[in-house]
Amino acid sequence: MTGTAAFISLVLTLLIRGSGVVIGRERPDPVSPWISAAALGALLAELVVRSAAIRFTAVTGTYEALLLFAVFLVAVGLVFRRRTGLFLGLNFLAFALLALASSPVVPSELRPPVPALRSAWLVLHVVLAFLGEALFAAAFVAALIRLADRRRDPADLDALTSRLILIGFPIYTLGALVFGAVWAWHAWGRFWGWDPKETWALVTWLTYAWYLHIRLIGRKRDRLAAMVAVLGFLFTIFTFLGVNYLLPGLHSYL
Amino acid sequence: MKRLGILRSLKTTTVLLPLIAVSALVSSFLSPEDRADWIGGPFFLVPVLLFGVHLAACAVHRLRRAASWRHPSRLGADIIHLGLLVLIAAGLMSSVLRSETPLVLARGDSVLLEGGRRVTVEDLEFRTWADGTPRQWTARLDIDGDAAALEVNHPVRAGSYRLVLTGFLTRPRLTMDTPEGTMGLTPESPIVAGGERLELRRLESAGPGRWSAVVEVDGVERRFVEGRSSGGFTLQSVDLNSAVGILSVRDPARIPAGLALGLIGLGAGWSLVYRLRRPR
Repeated sequence: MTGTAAFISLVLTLLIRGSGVVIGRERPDPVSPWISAAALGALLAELVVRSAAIRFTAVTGTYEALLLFAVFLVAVGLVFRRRTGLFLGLNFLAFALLALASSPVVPSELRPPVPALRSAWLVLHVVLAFLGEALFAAAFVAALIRLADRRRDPADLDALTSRLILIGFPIYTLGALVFGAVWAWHAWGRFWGWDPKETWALVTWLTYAWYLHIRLIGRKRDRLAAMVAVLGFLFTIFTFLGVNYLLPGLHSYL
Repeated sequence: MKRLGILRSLKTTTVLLPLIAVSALVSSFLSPEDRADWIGGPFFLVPVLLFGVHLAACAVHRLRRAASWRHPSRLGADIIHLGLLVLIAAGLMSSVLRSETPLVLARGDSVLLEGGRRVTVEDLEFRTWADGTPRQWTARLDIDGDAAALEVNHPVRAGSYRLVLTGFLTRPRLTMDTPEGTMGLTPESPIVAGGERLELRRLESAGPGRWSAVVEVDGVERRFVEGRSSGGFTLQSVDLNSAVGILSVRDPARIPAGLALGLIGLGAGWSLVYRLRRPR
């Protein structure tokens, strides 16, 4: 029920802010952030209800992971509510995740997590990884606008993309790699096992590390850096969803 | 001197990072066996080792100039770089020194680990939720006289070994009448009797509460039904015992690996706090 409310709120957000773009309104409307905030509240409520039902933080299934990712996307979108492109892009991504969550390919029935998933390290791993990925998503939208819209100031968008990745990268490092490795040590007796999910998380991390080093070289390569930011997010999405369905491994349940 | 400059140049980083990423990416499409060969092969190891040398050259250069302390913005990145260096060293160390043994133990089973410690399974507990999904598996162990509760996500130490509970399963045990008397046959322990080697392959249902066992007798699969004889062997009974899968791990690289993760975490934390506190 709360998931449906969140979905409807996101549709309204996209319609209101999107129509402002179509009619050429200069200032962002004040209503859509409130509706987006309502979607955020509904998503959080859904996660709290599910957590209470399974008596564990609900981050252990694909459905909950999609909801959690959407929560962070909407939250980051609210931070950038005055930047219409970014706000719309992030809300659209959240909408796409919720559409996927409501599809038959993602089972939504409540299931208590198997013993290996009942770990505080896992919660830290998943929550921080998705928070980092939400910031990568924002960087992706900024980089896409930079590459596609020649009327916009590229320097401003490059600086924004860089700032988002500079914040998202350490969070992702902590969540996806450090806490993930600690959890793997407790659950499987090893820090790293070259499971496809782990490998793709590393590939994503290396791509963003590549972005940061390209930016350090100088401004001549800003366009390349923006393309790498776009590529990084495509890898992020493949790590999250593509690996689950195409490359089975130990993380196939998530 | 110029060559040394290339070794620590940013352009080298921008070449090595995608190279390692592509090599790692290729490994994910391979089968687990081929993947292990790829990761241990030149296409992955050479860029990683070059990256290690490059990181070391950068670290030495930075330390010599004490750049980090003058520029706190770089300190986080330097700590991460140092952590990565330790991590590469720990990874190489682990690939050489790590040993692991998978064990399947039922209640009452005992095993002597390589270090001389004896581990005995005193009791097993399998708790489920109301819908039957597993909630927690507990193996109560006796390790050289000391009691320990082994649970998923809560490994226990046995000397230099670490025991990790990896699964809970049902293990069949056949009681067979053989020309040399009554013997027990499990999937992990083949028996030799009457000059023939018997290996339990699988169990199949033979009606409610009845089992037939597929046993390989000197390389040829034969089906045994409870209470019936075949070729001098009689399957008396089939018992299904609960058992736990335990991984016995000895990895001297766990300390440097833990240190590396700590350094990377510290560096990431520093970078994050610095970035968030810094005005736009």
